[in-house]
Amino acid sequence: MNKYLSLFSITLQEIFTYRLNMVMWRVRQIFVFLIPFFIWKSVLGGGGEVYGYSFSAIMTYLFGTTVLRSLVMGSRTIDLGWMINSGTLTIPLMRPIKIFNFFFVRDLADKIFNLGFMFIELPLIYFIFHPPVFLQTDLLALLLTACSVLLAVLIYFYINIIFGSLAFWTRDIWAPRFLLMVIMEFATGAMFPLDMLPPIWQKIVLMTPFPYLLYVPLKAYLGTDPNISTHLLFSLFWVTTLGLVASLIWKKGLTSYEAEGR
Amino acid sequence: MHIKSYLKVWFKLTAQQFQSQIGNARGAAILFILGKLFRLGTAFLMLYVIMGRAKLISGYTFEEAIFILAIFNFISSLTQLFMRGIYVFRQKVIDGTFDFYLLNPLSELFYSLFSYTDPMDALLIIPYLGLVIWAWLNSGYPITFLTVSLLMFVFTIVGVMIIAWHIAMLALGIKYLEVDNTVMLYRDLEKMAALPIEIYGKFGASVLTYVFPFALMSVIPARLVFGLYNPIFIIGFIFLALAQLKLSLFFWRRALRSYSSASS
Repeated sequence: MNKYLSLFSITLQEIFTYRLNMVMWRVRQIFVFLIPFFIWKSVLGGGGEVYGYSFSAIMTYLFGTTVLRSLVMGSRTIDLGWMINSGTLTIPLMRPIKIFNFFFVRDLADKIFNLGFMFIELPLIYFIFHPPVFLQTDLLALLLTACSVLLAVLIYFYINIIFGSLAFWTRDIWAPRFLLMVIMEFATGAMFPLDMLPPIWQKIVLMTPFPYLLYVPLKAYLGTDPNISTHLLFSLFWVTTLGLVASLIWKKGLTSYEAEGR
Repeated sequence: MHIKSYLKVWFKLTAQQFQSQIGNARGAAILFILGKLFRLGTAFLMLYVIMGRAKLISGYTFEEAIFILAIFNFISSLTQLFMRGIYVFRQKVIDGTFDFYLLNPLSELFYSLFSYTDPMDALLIIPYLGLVIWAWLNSGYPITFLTVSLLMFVFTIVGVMIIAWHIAMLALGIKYLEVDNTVMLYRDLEKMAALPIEIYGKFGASVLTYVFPFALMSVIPARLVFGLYNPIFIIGFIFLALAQLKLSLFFWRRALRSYSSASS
């Protein structure tokens, strides 16, 4: 346990090393909320509903995506591709620590760092812009949200392992990651709630693992997903499938690893 | 004479970049192009989703908002195409390559900003321009010689302002080494101009107009086309652009003084 605590602490120290970069990262997270806030304010600020969402519901959704992005999508595993290409992966491979645990602990440190700052930033946003946010009090909805978030964290972790592992075979890992990023921005429901799309599009997107990262946990929080149990089962399916794929790719990739650059 | 040398070197560097991509990263280039097209598609989709119900956004119709988005996308892609060097600048400082830029007879700023032009990106510029023309015609406003000339003039000013901001970011890169999130923050702010800036309120719109060049990249050219903006005001932006360029060069020179060449 001590080695994991040390790893956790070292990762946090790493994040705090480049302070300007860290501050800019946090400022970016605020803008992630502000841009859609202004867009929806101009559409719904005067009252009424769009696609069944009132201004309060959409603001809760946006507030939720901001928190969940930090919690679910805060990750250090995105460095994996670079670690393979530069040969830096050799160092954790030689340590007496399970490699997936190594990456997961680093991810946890990143998530805690993000969450810590969220506690300062969100009240600040709230007091400046007064977005009407709905607070869920139903315990069942909160429990389902917690389950959904936990599964989302694991789905994102395995997606990162899979995409990072591509570096075992190619040096151009930035291009597939860019494509993944662009697809995720839309398919996770970060741009707008996915139930604003026509039903056929919703069905297609819900067949991918991406909506289970943000959209499903947020619908669980809002208590407006009639198929929440099915969606939780799908999340579990994706965790299992992606976990298996990640292990297989990792094992195969390690056989091609040449520690180039070390 | 100098311009000729810069152009010659730029063509040479771009050709090398093209050869490198054809040789090593054909698949990557295709994925990048796909990613960019997908991103543009989702931006249009978002407008459609919002305006499908709301009809007007800050007084602009759906067709007008599409035109604003198309202009923004064109200018943003064009500037990123030429100034791609900013994304690799950190690495150049860390691994010592920047020392070679300093030793070169041509400006180190030229190498830092313009040496990574992506020819594959240039392929997208033509359809993006087509999209602007389609959106313009679709918005119902006539394409006249006067408006096209005015837009070209505005885009020149935008170019100067964007270069100034990129120089300022490079200066930060020299001083603090880690500049990636600063560049990404700039891009996030830039994205705000993809929609009519009036939605951000008076203060937000003023910042995007008079501090950053973003309003000039989208809403102001669009308002010129819609006949909602007096061209006389553009003169003020010439002075603003020159002041920003001068200031950024001042920051750059100051940053260079603190460069210690520690990595080489």
